Amino acid sequence: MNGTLSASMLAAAIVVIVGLWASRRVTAGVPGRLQLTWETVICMVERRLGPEAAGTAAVPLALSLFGFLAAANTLRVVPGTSRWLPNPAADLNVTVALAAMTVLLVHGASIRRWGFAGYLRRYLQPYWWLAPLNLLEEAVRPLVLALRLFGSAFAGGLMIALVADLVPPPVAPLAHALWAVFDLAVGYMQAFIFALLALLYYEAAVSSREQSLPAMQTGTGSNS
Amino acid sequence: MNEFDTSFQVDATLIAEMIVFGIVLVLMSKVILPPFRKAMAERQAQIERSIAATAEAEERLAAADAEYERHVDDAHRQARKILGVYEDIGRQVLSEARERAGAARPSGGDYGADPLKVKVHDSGGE
Repeated sequence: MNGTLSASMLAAAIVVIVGLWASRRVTAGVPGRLQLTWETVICMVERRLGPEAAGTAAVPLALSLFGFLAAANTLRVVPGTSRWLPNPAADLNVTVALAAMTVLLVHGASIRRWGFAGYLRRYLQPYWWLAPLNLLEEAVRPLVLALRLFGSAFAGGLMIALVADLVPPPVAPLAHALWAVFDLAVGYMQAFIFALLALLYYEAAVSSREQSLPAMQTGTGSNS
Repeated sequence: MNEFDTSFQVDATLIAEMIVFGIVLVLMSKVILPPFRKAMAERQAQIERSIAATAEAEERLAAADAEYERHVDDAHRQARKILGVYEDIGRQVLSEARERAGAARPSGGDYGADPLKVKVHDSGGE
């Protein structure tokens, strides 16, 4: 088993353990801080996607993506773990796997929502001759998701290596620590962006073209 | 330069990562999130019950207020009626007393205009 997979499994275990621990303490009365945080996120996602998102995979997808990436991001700054637990997001296998799972779920949700014929018909909107562009857009989405996260993590790792090499040894630990804190914040931001983009793709897949692309529909008349 | 771990190669790890994340996703949707949803639904139901109970209590309060006003109005009406009756009785008693006083007044004496007043004055003087 390689280091990336070990780190991913550990991050996944952390997400599951924290989630199970929180879910066992759930009360219908006055919620604690942890429960309130979970409920706030659930409400935010459901409000974003509308009430029909309550039973769908959108909420688990967003929470799993953010939780997994945040846990993996946090793990790499734990002292002593950097040698045997590399940042999973700096491995293209991980980012592509997350993007692939997201895209599979999004397309599955779209097929469930519109039926297979309706799902295919969406590629012909607003005009049939835009189908190649729509297909290209769908093909680019997983690449965008995967490469944005990978690029950010790769750049973070590269900067840490550069700081270690280029900064004079007396101040290197301080510079390293400062950059690690900054990189940690960037990692959380990237986790949030990944989850948010996944949600946006989900929303676009289950909402009508009129809702998802209002600007495109303005003044264009009826579609094919 | 120091080495840092990164990989540009997509290999079988991709499948393993998808399985790992898939497990997280399934546990999240089937085990972790349902208790939160259930608690939120219960709390929502509690809030809706409280709102309904509040509305019902407000209706009962309004009805009680109206009943109270009705009783107060009735009481005022009855009081005015009773007062009217006893004012009539009082006037009648006074009138009879004046008549009796007028009849009992001795002739030739100057007792003033009000015979009742004179009589009272006289009895006090004794």
